[in-house]
Amino acid sequence: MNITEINQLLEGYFAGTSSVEQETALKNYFSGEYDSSFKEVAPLFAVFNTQAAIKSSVEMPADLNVWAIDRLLEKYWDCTSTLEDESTLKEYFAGPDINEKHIQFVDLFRVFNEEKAIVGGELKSDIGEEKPQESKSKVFSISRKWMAVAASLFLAMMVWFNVDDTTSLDVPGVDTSGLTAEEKEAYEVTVEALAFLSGKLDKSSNSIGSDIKKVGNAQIFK
Amino acid sequence: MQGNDIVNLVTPFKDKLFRLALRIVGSVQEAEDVIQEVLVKVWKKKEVFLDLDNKEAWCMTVTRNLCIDKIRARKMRTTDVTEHYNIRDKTLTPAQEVVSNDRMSQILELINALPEKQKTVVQLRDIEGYSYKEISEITTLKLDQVKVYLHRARITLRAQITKRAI
Repeated sequence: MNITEINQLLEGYFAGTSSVEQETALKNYFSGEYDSSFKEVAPLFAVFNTQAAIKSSVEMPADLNVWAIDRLLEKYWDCTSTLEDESTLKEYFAGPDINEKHIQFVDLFRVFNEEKAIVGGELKSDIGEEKPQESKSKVFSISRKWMAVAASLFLAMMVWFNVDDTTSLDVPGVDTSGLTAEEKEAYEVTVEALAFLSGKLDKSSNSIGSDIKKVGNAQIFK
Repeated sequence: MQGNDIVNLVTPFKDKLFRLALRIVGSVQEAEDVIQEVLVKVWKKKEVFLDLDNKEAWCMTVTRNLCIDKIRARKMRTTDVTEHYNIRDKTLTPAQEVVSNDRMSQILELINALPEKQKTVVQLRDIEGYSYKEISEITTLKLDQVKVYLHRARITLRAQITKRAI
């Protein structure tokens, strides 16, 4: 190539309009003898050529599977592994194809896998089935629920039958024979409590009535 | 079985991956770390990798992303130019030997001082010889953006070379 052609290629190169082939031609030109008029730009292409010759210093592993697990284990022991890395390790150690050099770590990662399988105090079926016992709080909660139902039922009946005498436990129309001992107890407690409240309400209403009378007689409102 | 397949598929362009990593992270040690991380990533996603049409572009993208992560984590570091020149000396032609190390060091410094995207595009185009389309695929930049970054980089390099009268 003559000087004019090289100049044209350089113009295209710096304008960003040259093709890969034209740029390769420039690199080839500057890798050999070049005209002294190009001494300013020659080092640029020399850099491109020499940089393209740099080889990787990383050896490619003979067995990528073993090498990759080794790398993940290194990261794991250095505490620089990500959750994804650790998940990959657990998956590998849970599988059947474990390399001989990794067998020493099998138990560790299997323990992690088994611990993870424990859900809310209950083991998954592959570990063992054990029905959890009902907790006391749960029993208490059920009892309270029945008591609330009984109380609501009773209040509804009170309104329906317009019962005046709540001190009696013999509520007309209420048949307690079908209730369980627990339900019956809840029912009786509720009736007693309501009877007590009713007595208090009577006293309060009498008291409020006399207070209103006093207010009505006060001079300021006349 | 799959592990060896992957090694055979990656080996032809492993030097390109290394050079890209070296250009971005600026040290041989870190570039080696990045390449190892790339290999682990390829191994983890081997099913996806083996189905790819352009495995080289995918690996270059992964390399670039890991390099950017590394830079963000450790802050930008300056390139140790002498590291590169130990390698370079072995490959110099007689004509290149005439050019002083000092001049080339200055140019390398100029390239390394470019913003990350410009530097990456120069690496992929001027050093590795990828087409604009391939660079766009690797960097996930639009084709026009690739051209703009390359043009800006070359304008800067030309201006600096002329200014310094290397």
